[in-house]
Amino acid sequence: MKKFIIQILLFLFVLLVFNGIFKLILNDIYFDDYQQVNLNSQTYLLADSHGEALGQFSEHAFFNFSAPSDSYVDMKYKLEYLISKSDIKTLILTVDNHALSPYRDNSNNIDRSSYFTFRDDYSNFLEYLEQKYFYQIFVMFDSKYGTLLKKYLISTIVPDGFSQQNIWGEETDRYRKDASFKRSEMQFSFNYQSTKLKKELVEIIYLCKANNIKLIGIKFPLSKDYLNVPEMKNYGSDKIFQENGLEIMNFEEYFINNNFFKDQDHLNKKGAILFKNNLIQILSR
Amino acid sequence: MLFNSLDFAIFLPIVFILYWFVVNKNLKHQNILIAIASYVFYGWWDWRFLALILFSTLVDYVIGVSLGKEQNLYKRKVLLWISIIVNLGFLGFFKYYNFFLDNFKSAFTFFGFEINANSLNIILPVGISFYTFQTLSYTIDVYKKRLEPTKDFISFAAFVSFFPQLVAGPIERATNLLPQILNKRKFEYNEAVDGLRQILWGLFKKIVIADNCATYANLIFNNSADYSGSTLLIGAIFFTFQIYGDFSGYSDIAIGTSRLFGFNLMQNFAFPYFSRDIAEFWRRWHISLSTWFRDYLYIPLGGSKGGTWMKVRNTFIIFIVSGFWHGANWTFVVWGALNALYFLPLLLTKRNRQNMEVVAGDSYFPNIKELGQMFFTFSLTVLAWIFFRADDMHHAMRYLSEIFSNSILVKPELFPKELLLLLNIFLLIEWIARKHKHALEGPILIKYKALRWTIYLAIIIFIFLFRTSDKIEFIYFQF
Repeated sequence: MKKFIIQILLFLFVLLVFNGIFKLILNDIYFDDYQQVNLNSQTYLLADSHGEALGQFSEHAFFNFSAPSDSYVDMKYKLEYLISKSDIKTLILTVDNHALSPYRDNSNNIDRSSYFTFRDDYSNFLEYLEQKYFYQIFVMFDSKYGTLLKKYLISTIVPDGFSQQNIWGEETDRYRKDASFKRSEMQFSFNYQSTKLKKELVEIIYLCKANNIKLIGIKFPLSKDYLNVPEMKNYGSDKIFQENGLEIMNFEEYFINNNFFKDQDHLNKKGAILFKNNLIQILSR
Repeated sequence: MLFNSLDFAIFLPIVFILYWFVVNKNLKHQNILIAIASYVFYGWWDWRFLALILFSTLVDYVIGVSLGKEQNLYKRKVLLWISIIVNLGFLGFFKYYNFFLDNFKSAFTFFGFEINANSLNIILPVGISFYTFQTLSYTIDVYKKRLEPTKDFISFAAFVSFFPQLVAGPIERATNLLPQILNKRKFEYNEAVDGLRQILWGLFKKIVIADNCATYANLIFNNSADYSGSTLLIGAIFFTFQIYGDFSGYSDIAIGTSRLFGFNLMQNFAFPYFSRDIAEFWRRWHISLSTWFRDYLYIPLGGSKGGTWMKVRNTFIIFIVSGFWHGANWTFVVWGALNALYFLPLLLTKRNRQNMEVVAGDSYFPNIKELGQMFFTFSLTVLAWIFFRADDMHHAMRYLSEIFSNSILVKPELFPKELLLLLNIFLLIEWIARKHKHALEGPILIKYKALRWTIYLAIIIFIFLFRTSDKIEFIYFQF
């Protein structure tokens, strides 16, 4: 029995070493970028991939704190962090149609945004340890990290030969229609809004009021293909803003030219630069 | 509790430590621990159904003790039938009530009569088909005087609810498992280490092979109208590997876990996809169920000893009952009947026992004939699995007709190269290990420690990298 236990412990140690190696790789490809934030800014943009597509506003006093798949839970964690660590004065927050879609209940960044949380964000200490530390340290227990690493390793060994078409307008009509439909099925298949995310959004509004932060809603540009999909719904985050007397900047129909998009609902580099410049002008007024 | 969950990863070491370090001196305490751990394991899923297991345990315990005392043949028969009616009654109610009701309603409607009877919203208790058969084997064996009944209720409860095999087998015979529970177990280093290896291989089969195949099999079967025959064929092949990886993976984990506690369970799978005919396939697939039906149904019916008609009748009975055991759906019945049709020509021409040894036992590769036989047998099973997986008969027939249409020649809409490559590697490993009880039992693994550990690590890393985000339950939980 003694030999058995020693062998098990030795093997677990070797596994732990491998877990450490995977953790280092994941820090590099997944965690570190997400945690980067300029705390000297006074205006922050919080959104999902629609906001992230704009890149950084390096020459201006704005910080783009958006990340693909961020939900209102992630954004609330980030806001609480900013309130405690920075001198935030203005927050620009996404109120896109899909922002309160229940699909975001599962598709989010809670594993990463937990970095910005404090003990008080959790109902008990065990939950705090599990959410903030356990899976982030013992990465081999979480299938999400396995998938990420697999994709990374495959792309390292076999570089992706299919460079993604970066101009939506150059895709065929059929492709644009199908892709828009698929995307809308994912984002708008539910007939109700997420109660959990709604609660988080209300808390964000409350936090901004309590800390004298000017809150502005933003709706990002969408391609006309996507705007016209029959499944398009609005889960109503903009309505909550209106009910609270908050300003909304609606850019949904800002571009009618498909050449400024890389897919149905994301700007490409060219579109992002044009849109960003316009946004900076508006915010500077 | 799922074997491939964090809960089980915590549960197993706790029970192991208590078993070998706290209650190791006392057999009775060890058996109490097994029974309690088994109830916790089962109750993790739904504690309400523990009452059902406890009731079944109590009934068979009392009947067993009574059979031990009773010499009157008539009274012994009555006792046996009480056990059969109680056990099969529960199984029938939870598993088949709605099926029979719906079919009676349909039959009456067909003849112009309307009957008002509502289907019940019945939850099928996990593992009921498995532990019911296990307890039945006990009562029948005691009745046949092949086994002395036990008076130790705790040991009997541990036998019925033994957690490694409680919910999806192997369906253990009382003659094998009960004596092990009643006698002192000793920790054997080699058994425990090989048990861990078997658990690891089982996890690989479930998480890497079955769950990844399930992603595509579910997509294709659930949207079969959208795909060409070639894609549907790929879907059927993926399901073929899914069900094998899923069920044999579970069995490996169950057997490996039992070995950690000093128990030896029967082998449940013996590389069935390398079979050269259907008879061999059924000697290698779900062995514990096949032999159960052989011993408690086929042989009592006369087996293959009578005339041709009797052979045909018994073959159909055993396969159809076996199909029906899997679920209350005509698709399972047809699956069973189809296997009977595959099997009959072999039985009637007395060629059903021609392939008793491992294929290509003396060489690395099979010869052309063996390869052809394996391919043919595999193809037959793939076709049969379509009925097993389909939602209903209509779905199965549409699926098959599309496969046998011109669209079989169309380039498949789905062709996951990564997964197909993985399946080939998997088949290769299983081929190399085909003479052993599980794939990690090979001689290379006995000799070189560094190689052993490298292989273990590689498998764990594969499990980590290929684990799907969806938690996919074991298929056989629903039976």
